[in-house]
Amino acid sequence: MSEIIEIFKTIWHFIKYAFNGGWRHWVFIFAMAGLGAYTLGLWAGVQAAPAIYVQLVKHLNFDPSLLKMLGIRPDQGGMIYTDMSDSVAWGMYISFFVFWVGVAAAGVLFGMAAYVFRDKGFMRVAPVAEAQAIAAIVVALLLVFVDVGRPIRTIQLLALPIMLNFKLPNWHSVFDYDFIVLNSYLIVNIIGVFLAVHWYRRGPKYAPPKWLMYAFMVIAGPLAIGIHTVTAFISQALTARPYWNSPLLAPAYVATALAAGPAVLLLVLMIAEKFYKGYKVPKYVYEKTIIAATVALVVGLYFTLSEAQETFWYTTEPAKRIQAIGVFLAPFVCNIMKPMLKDYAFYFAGHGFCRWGLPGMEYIAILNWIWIVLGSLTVLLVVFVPPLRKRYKGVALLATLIVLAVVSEKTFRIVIPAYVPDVMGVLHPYFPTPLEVALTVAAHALGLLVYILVARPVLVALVRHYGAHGEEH
Amino acid sequence: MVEKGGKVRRNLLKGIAATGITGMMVLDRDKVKDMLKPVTKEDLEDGYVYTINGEEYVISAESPYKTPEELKELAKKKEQDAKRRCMESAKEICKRLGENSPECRLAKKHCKEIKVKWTLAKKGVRWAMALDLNRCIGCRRCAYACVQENNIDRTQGIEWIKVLNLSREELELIATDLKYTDAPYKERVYIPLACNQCEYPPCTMVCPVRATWKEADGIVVVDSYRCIGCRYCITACPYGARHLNWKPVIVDALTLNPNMHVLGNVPREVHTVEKCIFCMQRSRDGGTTACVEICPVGARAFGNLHDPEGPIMRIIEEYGAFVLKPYAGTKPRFFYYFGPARTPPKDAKNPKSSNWLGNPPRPEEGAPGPNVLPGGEESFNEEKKSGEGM
Amino acid sequence: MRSVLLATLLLAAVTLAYTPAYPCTYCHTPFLKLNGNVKKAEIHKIDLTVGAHAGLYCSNCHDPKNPMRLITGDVVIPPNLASEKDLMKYNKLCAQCHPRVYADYMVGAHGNSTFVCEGGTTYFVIGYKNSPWWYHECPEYRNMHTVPGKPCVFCHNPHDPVKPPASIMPPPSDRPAPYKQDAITYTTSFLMLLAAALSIFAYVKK
Repeated sequence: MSEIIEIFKTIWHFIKYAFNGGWRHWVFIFAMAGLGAYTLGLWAGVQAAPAIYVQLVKHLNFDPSLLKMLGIRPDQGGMIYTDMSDSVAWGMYISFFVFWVGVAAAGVLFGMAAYVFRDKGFMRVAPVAEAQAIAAIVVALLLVFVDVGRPIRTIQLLALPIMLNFKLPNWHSVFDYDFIVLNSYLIVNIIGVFLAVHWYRRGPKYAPPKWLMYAFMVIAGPLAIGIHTVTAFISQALTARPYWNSPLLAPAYVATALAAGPAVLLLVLMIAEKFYKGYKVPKYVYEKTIIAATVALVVGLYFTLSEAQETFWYTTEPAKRIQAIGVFLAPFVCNIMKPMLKDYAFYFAGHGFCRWGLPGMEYIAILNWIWIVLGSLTVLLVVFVPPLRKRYKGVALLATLIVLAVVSEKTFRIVIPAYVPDVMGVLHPYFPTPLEVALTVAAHALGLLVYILVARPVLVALVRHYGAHGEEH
Repeated sequence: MVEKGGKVRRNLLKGIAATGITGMMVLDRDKVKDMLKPVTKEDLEDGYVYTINGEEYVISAESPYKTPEELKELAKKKEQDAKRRCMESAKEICKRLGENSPECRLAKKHCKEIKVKWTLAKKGVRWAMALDLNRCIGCRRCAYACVQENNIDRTQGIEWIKVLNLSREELELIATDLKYTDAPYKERVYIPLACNQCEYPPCTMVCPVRATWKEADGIVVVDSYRCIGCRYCITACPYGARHLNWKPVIVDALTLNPNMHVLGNVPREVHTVEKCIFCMQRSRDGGTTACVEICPVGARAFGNLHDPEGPIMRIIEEYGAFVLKPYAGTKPRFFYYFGPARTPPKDAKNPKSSNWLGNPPRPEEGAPGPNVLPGGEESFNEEKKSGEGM
Repeated sequence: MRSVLLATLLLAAVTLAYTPAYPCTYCHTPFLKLNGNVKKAEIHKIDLTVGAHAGLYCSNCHDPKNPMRLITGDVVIPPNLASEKDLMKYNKLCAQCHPRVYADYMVGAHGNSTFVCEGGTTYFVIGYKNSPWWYHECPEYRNMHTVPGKPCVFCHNPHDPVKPPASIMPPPSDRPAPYKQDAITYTTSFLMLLAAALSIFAYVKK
């Protein structure tokens, strides 16, 4: 009985401390809530309006007058406001989805490191990492939800059969498994955060029972790698997209995820330390995390190098090579690349082909080289300039560089080149429209909102458990 | 120290045990084994067999509608919806052009005539199409007749058939040109491309809600009432054969084709996928497809692959056929071949003769052939002599 | 009935041979026989010295004793007067020299197929992008029968058989460009900037 009361008390702890902050807390909440609400309204009112109308009125027999009053009409709106086409079927939404699933994956790995190595400093950070995983999964799920053409039908035909009957509509489709793993990971992390706070909030003497934490880690650890692997498996096994059709896609996804996730977490920890007096993270945590992230970055860069060799050295397969040309071609590497570009590169790039990427899609090549340059720069800085990673400002700089590098690599550069040129050799350029930017911002804003609402109670609980000041500063 | 290690090991074992038990409860070994088996065409032909009026029909095991009654219900729903949308369009036309105008009457007539059939696949039939690349002139009549036959939304620029224009020397798809305005030319070959109704379709493997599946007679269909518009199938198709309705679909009663099939050419909904369905509203009832019918040079042939008196078997045996992207392993049912005679291209030298290429005339009897040296026999012997001297 | 009329009208447009407007028997019975050497017929504007049938003489296909008939025995009916059934009879003559093509034609691999339904009508529609389509109107749209599309002479003028290419239709379309969304641009950028400014302000202010 007392256990149930404690559970209610934990829930109350979450609610109380989510909203009990200073004015800055409220300003941020309102900013994110307002932005998120407006842009989500744009989704419902512009992009998904005809689909929502048709599904509700025709298939679920709702009364159309209410919808008409809200301004949702069946013949206006639609995905025509985005720049996606039959050639470029996935655009900005899926690009950022890939990035955020990666960030989510890295969250639980922090907790794993903490419990495996029994490191007190990392154990202070692990629950915040789980909160980050929750926020990242929320962003990812929102991005997929706004990307799908018929959202209500998705719930009817995909979510409900899986959740209620444990029946997968199509055992062959990796999308179904992605749905399961992402939602399981979300639930596992919610449970993890709840468990941590449930004991930590009561004071220094309370900790979750070890067997529970180990069970949790055994499930959550592989699941963390699993979500990003399954996300990669969606793209990886398709014969139609040679740019993705390589077993290296899943490891590349995971490697860069393990670089970006901790970097985002470090930035958040610095903000948390600044604004939540009493929460202190030992300095060595920052340094060790940056080093770990850099190792992951090195692996990621290595995979990019491997990609470049595989597509350009001997490969005569034109589809693969022209898609990679769209990614790697830049004025300063033209001379090296010239002998490796087959005749048909001229078909797309014209004879003056010392340019960035393919016509109309220059930004992909630019993003690729930003990734390579910033990634290598970060690695060099971390290895050869030790004072940088020992200071807060240096760590902030390095973390920002890592985040920028991985965002450049993991968003457009990994999703769009598989569609440009498409399976029949048609080059249909893609550039995100304002609506796509708005809906991506919606997902991000709501994710940040969730993050701050979850992270604050977690921080309070951590301070209560570990004491107001850390061991060293 | 040992105790601590023991405690860790025990906790770890407890954790693993917890995961193992959860895992066994959730996974079903048979389902996992099923999933790893590739779907063969024998499995598809071996669906649910129904005997109606003495004829055997098959519903594929992949289809979410397992009985003819379910399909009939779906057809009734779609017919109601199609009639409603058609009448809305007809009312608008009548309002604009007057109640007694011929357009208004024609529009209303089309709406009344709408029939959404649920004709099943006959047992033992495998639809396939063959296309003679020597005869095709790249005129695109097939592409646009298809648009008119299948109630495709014309305001969105969707066309199920795309005609590729490749160099005759190397059928390299990357170098294709879709937007040519002048054809046919002698060094180009024109390849109309639509859904190949593959035997191992990647698109049906990836659909998360089973909105698309391969019917028992080979046609890969999309149910517009199940599609969630996730575009995974468009991503998976190696031939670019699938198209999404990116904006609300506009039904025009004047140009509507009332002959519809429930899994085929009923006007689709917004944000759902559509593709070539081998005119199942015609072919399953004994007719032939719109593209075959309209081709001005008769380059297309459509029929049952298994029919010894059908065109496809004859073409494969007599002329040999190839498919696009064979390395993709999808085993398409759309065969291309180079037939015995070519439609003379625009830049032919003698378009009216059999020698339209304008090859130089053959030499008469006794004249030296092309591989004799200009000097005649003497130079030949001279060279031989010098060779012998070595 | 209507479809046959349409078919013959189109055939008339396509065929280039010229037939005078008086009955064939006026000249061809009992006079005007052919010998084996004739390759031109000025009055009919037929010239067999050029074209793909340049290796032939009139008497290869027309009965020399009575050129109004073919060597198979069928009467030659001018294309603008012949029905499709009549024209189909001439197919077996073409098959004499083109057996492989004839075998293809009989299974549907050469030339079009079309289909007929009981009580149905076929309309020739010029529609999307000015391109043609055969619209079949049937009572129930069941019980259709596929039949060979056209007789040989419909596409191949027997005296000038190479069929030139038809005109081509306009290039394909693609999805329309994304609609104008200025309102979205302005409001979203404004809100984004506002949210960013507020957050930075909250971060920076002491």
